[in-house]
Amino acid sequence: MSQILEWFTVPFEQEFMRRALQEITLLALVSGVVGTFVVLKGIAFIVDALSHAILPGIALAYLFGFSLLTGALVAGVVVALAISAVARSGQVSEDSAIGIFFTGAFSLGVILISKTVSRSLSDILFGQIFGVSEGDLWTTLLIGGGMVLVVLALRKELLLSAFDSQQARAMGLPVVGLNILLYVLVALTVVISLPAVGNILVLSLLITPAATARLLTERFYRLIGLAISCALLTGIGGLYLSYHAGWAGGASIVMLSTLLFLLVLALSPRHGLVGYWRNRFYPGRTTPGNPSQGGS
Amino acid sequence: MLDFLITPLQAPFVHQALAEIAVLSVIVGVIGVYVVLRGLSFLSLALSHAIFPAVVIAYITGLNYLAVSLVAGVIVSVLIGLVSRNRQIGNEAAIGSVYTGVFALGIVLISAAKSNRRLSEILFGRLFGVGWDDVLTSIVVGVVVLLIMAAIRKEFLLNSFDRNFSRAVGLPATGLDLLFFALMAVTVIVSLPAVGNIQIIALLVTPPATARLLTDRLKRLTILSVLIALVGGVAGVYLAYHLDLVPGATVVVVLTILFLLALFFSPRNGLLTSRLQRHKLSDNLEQATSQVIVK
Repeated sequence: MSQILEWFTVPFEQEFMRRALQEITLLALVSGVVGTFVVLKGIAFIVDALSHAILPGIALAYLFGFSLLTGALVAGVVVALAISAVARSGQVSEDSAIGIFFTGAFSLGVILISKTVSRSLSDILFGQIFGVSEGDLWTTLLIGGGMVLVVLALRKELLLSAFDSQQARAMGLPVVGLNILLYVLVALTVVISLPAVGNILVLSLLITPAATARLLTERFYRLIGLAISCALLTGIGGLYLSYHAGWAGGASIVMLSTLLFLLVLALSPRHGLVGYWRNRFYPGRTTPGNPSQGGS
Repeated sequence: MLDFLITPLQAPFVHQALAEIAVLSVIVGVIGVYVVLRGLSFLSLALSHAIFPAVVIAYITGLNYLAVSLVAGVIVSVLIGLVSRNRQIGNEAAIGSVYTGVFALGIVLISAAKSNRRLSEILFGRLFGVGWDDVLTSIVVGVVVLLIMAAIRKEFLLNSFDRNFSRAVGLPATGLDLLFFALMAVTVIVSLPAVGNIQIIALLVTPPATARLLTDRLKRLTILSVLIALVGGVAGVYLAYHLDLVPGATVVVVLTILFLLALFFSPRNGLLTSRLQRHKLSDNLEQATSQVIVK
């Protein structure tokens, strides 16, 4: 018994593990809130593209000694503008425009970093959750806290524009402005997650918990609550796993997160495979969330 | 200038890199046209990341890379297919959730195996480390892929432009989709060791999108996209050799520059050229009206 207890308590006797835990808790809160909107709007690809595209900004920030935050934000904004300008010109589809610009920017970043920055590329790409510093924690707390406050203040506007942008526009909401706000929030989430999980795996932090939660509920506040809980659960589980097994920290969290998603997908009573088969083979019963499938 | 072209050729690894990139250009140029026409960039990104653990397993265990990655590709495609059927979460979120997890599995494997092969080498490919046997594999796979494409190009084309019509004439739309995904997966698999995860998306998407700015005809589109991939690939190899850069990333940067050039200066509908033409047009119009008024 005591051995089992030790398995849980021993890791957090270390300073670096406590910091990792604090960081992952903060990130779970922020990415749960922001990620819910990303999943509702279905913009995973552009989020993925943005998180890759900030790499040259990070490289330049290292090179010239200005803050990573500024570099990443500027690079993110430039690439986002380039994508939307090209997609709007109608010559190339948005999907292709995203593919072209993010790979181009990412490759430029790889070249810049491999030529100039002494820090290893894989630290930047995958983060070092066990190397999170006191300063990183404060950055996450301040920026993340500010972001959550902004989202809470504008939750109704953001939600309406995520679900039905036509309606939102008809009601006089600044839909374009709200979209830009969401992208800025995503970019900020990517930047504050950088030291812990790096810029490739952050996509998972943003979408997987929210997608898992989406399988379990239809209510907005529950969705956010569940997304945060999923992120916390897999975050802490991942820390234990990587501490005891010696695996890469960020990647362990992401792997657990996807496992949880697949598990929920299989077992969810409303929208999971079990529910689907039940509807299919016992067509008399309708599930509350999915009345349309009941009769067929 | 001549030195710039000839010096690299004295190193045998450059021969292999050039041969490999030339063979790959032909395959990705052809397949990429359909990736762009059907808007499958995100799916190709997901595939290339999801096959990543297979690359790692092959490196660590010394198993045959093609075999391992084919198995991985099939598993992931089925998984994504199953998950995207769920209408509750969007297609994008489903693809994203699955592929990041499988990719993370690859990273965990590397960290668990304490492999001394550098992660970045696997991530960004080793264009300067391919051997003649890799080139041979690419040729064989390429020939098979191109033969299949040539045999059923009309069905593919119809299916990617107008699914309803193609279904109405009795084409097996789902079967054709699956076949195309399989060809795309095979293309990603043969290119991965040389160019790496992210760069393969650029190889698939950027050349055909550039060609699309220059022509509307499918045949020309395919030929141009192969040529653009080839020019970008060869130029990238030379630049990477002379400036000592990461070769895969250099190829992508060159391709992106070619795209931007075409975007601004395409004779048909480049952003700058069309603006100039509009300028000329309005000048002419002004002249004409002023002449009319004078008269």
